[in-house]
Amino acid sequence: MFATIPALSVAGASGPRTSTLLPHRAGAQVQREAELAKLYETVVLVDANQEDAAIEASVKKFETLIAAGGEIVRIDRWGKRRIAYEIQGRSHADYTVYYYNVAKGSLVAELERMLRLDESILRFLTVVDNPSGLPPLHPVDQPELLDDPDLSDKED
Amino acid sequence: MAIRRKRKKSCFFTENKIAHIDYKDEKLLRRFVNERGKIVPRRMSGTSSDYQRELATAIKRARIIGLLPFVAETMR
Repeated sequence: MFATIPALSVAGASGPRTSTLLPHRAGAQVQREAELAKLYETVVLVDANQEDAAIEASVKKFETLIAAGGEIVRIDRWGKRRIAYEIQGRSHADYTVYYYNVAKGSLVAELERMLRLDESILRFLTVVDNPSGLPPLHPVDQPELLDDPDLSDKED
Repeated sequence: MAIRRKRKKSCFFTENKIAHIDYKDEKLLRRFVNERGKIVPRRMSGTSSDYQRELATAIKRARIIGLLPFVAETMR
């Protein structure tokens, strides 16, 4: 029982040593955060059954929110589209894709909280999904892939 | 005895050198779901296993944002 006390005091003696290490670690932390800035993308579905001005205001609102804590790389406005299935009784939504760099996740948490609170947002999806770290040039239209031979020969 | 002719199937993604399957690319993903909206199995499409896994994730994400249906009577 008492044998543990010297061990504790040894641990206490190493205290100053860790504190001298701290500046280095703090620097490493800053560096890591810079390296870890990731390209996030958030797809937002706004209820299309409202006035265009309201939709634009909503898109703008989240744009400013992201810009406050991160760096917006690109915003793609897909516009109104039919949804493959009804969401909250709506069959159409206005799609927007935000691409942005953030090092810390708190912005994403805050953004998602705001998206959840906004009743005109039908759905959203945030992913880090890009090995290259760059947004695709044309995420929706990749026409060169469409003319390729299809999968009609489905024999086993 | 019926002779089963085997057609060599090839992986679409390998052939086209697609590095990354984008869940937002609806037109691409639609080739890999059947008319019920189900993910086409590898034995039908010939997709290599790495890509099939990536494809499955992409299709599931596309479903979440309403690009693809979870279930469908008929695909439009």
